Amino acid sequence: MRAHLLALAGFLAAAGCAESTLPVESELTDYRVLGIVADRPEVAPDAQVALTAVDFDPEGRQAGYVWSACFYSLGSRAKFQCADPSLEIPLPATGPTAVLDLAALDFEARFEAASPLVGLDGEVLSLDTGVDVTIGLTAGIPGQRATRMYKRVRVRRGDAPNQNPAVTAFEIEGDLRAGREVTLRITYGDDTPETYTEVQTGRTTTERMLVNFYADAGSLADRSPFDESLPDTTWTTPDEPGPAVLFAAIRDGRGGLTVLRRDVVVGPR
Amino acid sequence: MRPILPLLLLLVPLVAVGQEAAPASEAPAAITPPTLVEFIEAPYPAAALEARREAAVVLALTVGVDGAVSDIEVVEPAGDGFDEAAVEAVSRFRFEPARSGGEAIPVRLQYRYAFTLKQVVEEKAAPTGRLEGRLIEAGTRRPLPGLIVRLPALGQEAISDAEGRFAFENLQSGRVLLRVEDPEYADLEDEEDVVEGQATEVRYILERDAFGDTVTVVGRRPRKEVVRRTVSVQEIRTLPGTQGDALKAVQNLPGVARVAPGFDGDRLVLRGGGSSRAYVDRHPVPLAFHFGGIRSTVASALIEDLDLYPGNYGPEFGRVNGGVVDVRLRDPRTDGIHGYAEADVFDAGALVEGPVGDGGLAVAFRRSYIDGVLAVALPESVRRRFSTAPRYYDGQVLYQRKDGPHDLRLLLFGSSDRIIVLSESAQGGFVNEWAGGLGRWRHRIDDDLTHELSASVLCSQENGRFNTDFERNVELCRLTLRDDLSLALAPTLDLRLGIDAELAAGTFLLRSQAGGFPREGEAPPDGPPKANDAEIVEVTEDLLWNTPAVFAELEWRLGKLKLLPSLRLEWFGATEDVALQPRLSARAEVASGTTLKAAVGLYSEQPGPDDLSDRFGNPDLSIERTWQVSAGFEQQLTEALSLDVTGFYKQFQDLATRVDDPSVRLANQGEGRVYGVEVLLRHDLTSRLFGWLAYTWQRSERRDRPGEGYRLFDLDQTHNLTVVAQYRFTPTWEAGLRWRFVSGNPYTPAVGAVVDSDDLTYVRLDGESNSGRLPPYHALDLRLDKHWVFETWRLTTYLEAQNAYNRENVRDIGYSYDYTESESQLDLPIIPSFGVRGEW
Repeated sequence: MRAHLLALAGFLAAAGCAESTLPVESELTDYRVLGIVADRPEVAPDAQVALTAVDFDPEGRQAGYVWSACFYSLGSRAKFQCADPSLEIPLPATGPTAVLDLAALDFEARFEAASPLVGLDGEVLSLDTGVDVTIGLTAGIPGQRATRMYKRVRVRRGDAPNQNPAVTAFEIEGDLRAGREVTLRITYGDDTPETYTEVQTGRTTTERMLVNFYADAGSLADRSPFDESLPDTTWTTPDEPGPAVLFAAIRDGRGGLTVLRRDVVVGPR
Repeated sequence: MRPILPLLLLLVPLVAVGQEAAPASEAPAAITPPTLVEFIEAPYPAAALEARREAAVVLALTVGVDGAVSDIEVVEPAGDGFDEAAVEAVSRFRFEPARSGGEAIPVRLQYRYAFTLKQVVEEKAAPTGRLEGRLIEAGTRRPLPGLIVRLPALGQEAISDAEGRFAFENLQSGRVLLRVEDPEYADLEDEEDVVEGQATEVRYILERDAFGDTVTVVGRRPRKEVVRRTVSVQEIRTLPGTQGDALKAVQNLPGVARVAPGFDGDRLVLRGGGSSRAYVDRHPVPLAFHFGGIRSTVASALIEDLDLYPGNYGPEFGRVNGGVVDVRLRDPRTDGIHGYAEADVFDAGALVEGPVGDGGLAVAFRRSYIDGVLAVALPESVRRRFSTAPRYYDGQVLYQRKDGPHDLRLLLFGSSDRIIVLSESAQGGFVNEWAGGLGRWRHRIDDDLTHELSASVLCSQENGRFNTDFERNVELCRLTLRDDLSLALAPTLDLRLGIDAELAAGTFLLRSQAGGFPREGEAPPDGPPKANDAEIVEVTEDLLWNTPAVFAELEWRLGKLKLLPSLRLEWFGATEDVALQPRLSARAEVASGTTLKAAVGLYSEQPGPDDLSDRFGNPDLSIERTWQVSAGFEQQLTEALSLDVTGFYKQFQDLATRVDDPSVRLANQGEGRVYGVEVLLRHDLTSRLFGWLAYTWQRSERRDRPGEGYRLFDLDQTHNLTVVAQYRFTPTWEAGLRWRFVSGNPYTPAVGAVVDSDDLTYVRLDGESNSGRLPPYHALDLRLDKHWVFETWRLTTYLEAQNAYNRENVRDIGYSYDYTESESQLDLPIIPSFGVRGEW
């Protein structure tokens, strides 16, 4: 525990001070998977979920995709693969989209048959409080290092399932010409952020929206984790005019994810 | 008949009564010699007077803790009634007793009582005037006891008393030459007019040849433990790389791992791991260093000296498997109002002390201004993130009163560290604060029986948080009660009995990701926690831990062999374990200046609140145990040069380590072993030179689960070499250097990552635990001090350069966001600093 405290404190003290030559996360210089979007992040045990890998390659190359799923997750994030092979769920898709059909998998019956199951925190897993199905994706340009990504889809009985963040606008404020600073801004819909009741504690909580911005040209302002909840950032446009691609990934902290793309053309100075 | 003035020949303790004679190679500690406060005139033997014979009698005598003289032996007799007269007079002398670590100690010394006829003749002459005066140290205004004042033309001498006063009676009027000579002070020679029928009063301010702190003599305390390394404040005031901080100086001793400056810099890792504790007057303090190890939380000016026990410490300490640092505070001064004010690049502090009632009171305070420096140095984009930039302060109020055999001490002290970050939409921070009081009553019932009762109450809060994802908050009030009784059972046998009880009550809150956080041997996080809200778990628990302990230790002296069997019986309330911890140490002086030593002992420690938490740890954990073994020798090479070589082995048992079962999380299944050798070649503080060479070779390993192989401990440092040297060019100029070479720490390399789409986080995948090792660290620190001594105060300034040749030491390995690329993260570059201190 202490290690985490110290890392936190060290980060606080050193925030913004260190110089690094390492690649920057917000700069899309190579093939990148920006996220897996489920059409609904929280579903009923008999639902069908559409999954989409939002990816980008600055050279426009065709990527390959391998999808998998684990029947339920014990929450161990580092274990990308299903701890128990018998719990793997087939997801035969080979493109950037896949479908998780829980009804076809007879999910609820299989879960009840396997119960009681214990989560990482020692709690007994229940469909009333929610169980995570972990979606795995391996994607990449053939012959290059592949990205491995996972996403949890929460399966839960009951009403008011979580929704992906509703974003009404991804705007650029400023003069979109080369070598200028402009503002990228997200505008949320009326239902975002959502207020919900925590199943475990019964507390009423409002979602905390966090935003990541990406660009394939120019540079984005350094945003520490402290700034992730800000809906805007500064983009310094590239020095040369031409097309550029911008992304904004908005997450609600409980599995909801919306990724928006804007293709722009930067004019001459 | 007027007595002939005595000459104090030797004030160096020859044999400590009630304590074993100190082996020649023991670590020095501060000893203040006894001071003659009441001189008794011896009648001039009638037969000798008639025969007009002069003589001197050399006596050996013991000055007890009450200042009384006993056990007088005539070492060099003079006959003719001189011996009897001298013995009778000296038996009624009164001394201010010698002191070690503030505690009165009995000492044996030689005393020369001189009878000269000239004085007698002079006394018979018509008295006409009196010359009296006082000796004061320049800069500190400290009275100077025990100095000899001579009137060479008249053949008269006087010794200054505890207040620095001296007097000559019955002087003929006219001008007299007065001389004061002492090895520690610049020679003084002056002429004064003695007026018939009047008292001439003079005041002399003597400049000390060398200025350290208020410690008057570096002596040696008897040693029982196999390895106890003592550092006096005088030695480390000008040590490079420590900014004059006493506690930081221990980082240069053998067995102490180098911890990189930063927010982990306050860790004290001794002999390859296990928790270690810092004590003040044998009571534990929650935080020894302000964050980053920048400064200790107790003002160095209040510290008499400190003992470092890297292992195999005695039964009076417990609850940790590593080592102990025990800081002993000095007595507040009672000879007037004194103090200092100081400032350097980190902080500023002040101390005021003086007599209050029948005792002494010292008040010290310090505050950092790192926040102010950062406000100027940091760019606005970073600065705006801080609502409270890093800052710390601490304060101490110390009162002491001595009344005969009673010694009462009261201490109020506290410390505060804070960083608060607050941006437009996020916040986090780190707070570590503690405050409380300590009371100690020491009663020396007689020379064979001493009783010490002390109690402390310290309340602390340690809080770290980041947004709503992560918070760890421990609020604890700890009551510590100690009662020690030392009893001399026989001339060769002492018994020490004690109670050491702790009661801690408070609350523990942890809100974080389920599944816990990295432990020792696991890669530390690369930044603040970033969790999916669905994974956040919060636990709040009331803490009520009691750990009472009783201990007994025998000290058995068999000629040149000293055996110390001991037993500590302890109850760990949090785990409901009883720990019976036998310990044994032995020392034998096998030849003049050569001492062999060995020790073995069992030590126990209970898990912390995180590990005992029912959501993040395992409340069914039991205590962890460690066997510690050490053996070695000490050799006095020259009067000032000594060598200490100690081999050690530690075996950790029942370490709490992670299990795969999510319902259990932790179990007492881990093991560890540490073995190595420590070498300390030390040149004691003399008039010009002081320094040491400290080298540790060791290997520290852990096995997390049965059946697995051993891996390296996080701070396994194969080689750790420190060279410290200080040289005084003139009484007011001195320079010092420190050079360190330390093997790089092991680290766990990242071998890739998977991406958590819900958090948009790259989760690193670790390679084999601690299978990488950073490059070696080495750095040179330099320091130059200049003192200006004025009549009533003195001024000291220093210039210091840390990492003087700007070595690019690697602190850690940093990775790109996706863990596909890495780079070295460097330690601090050359850091010049400056400080100034004025004291009066």
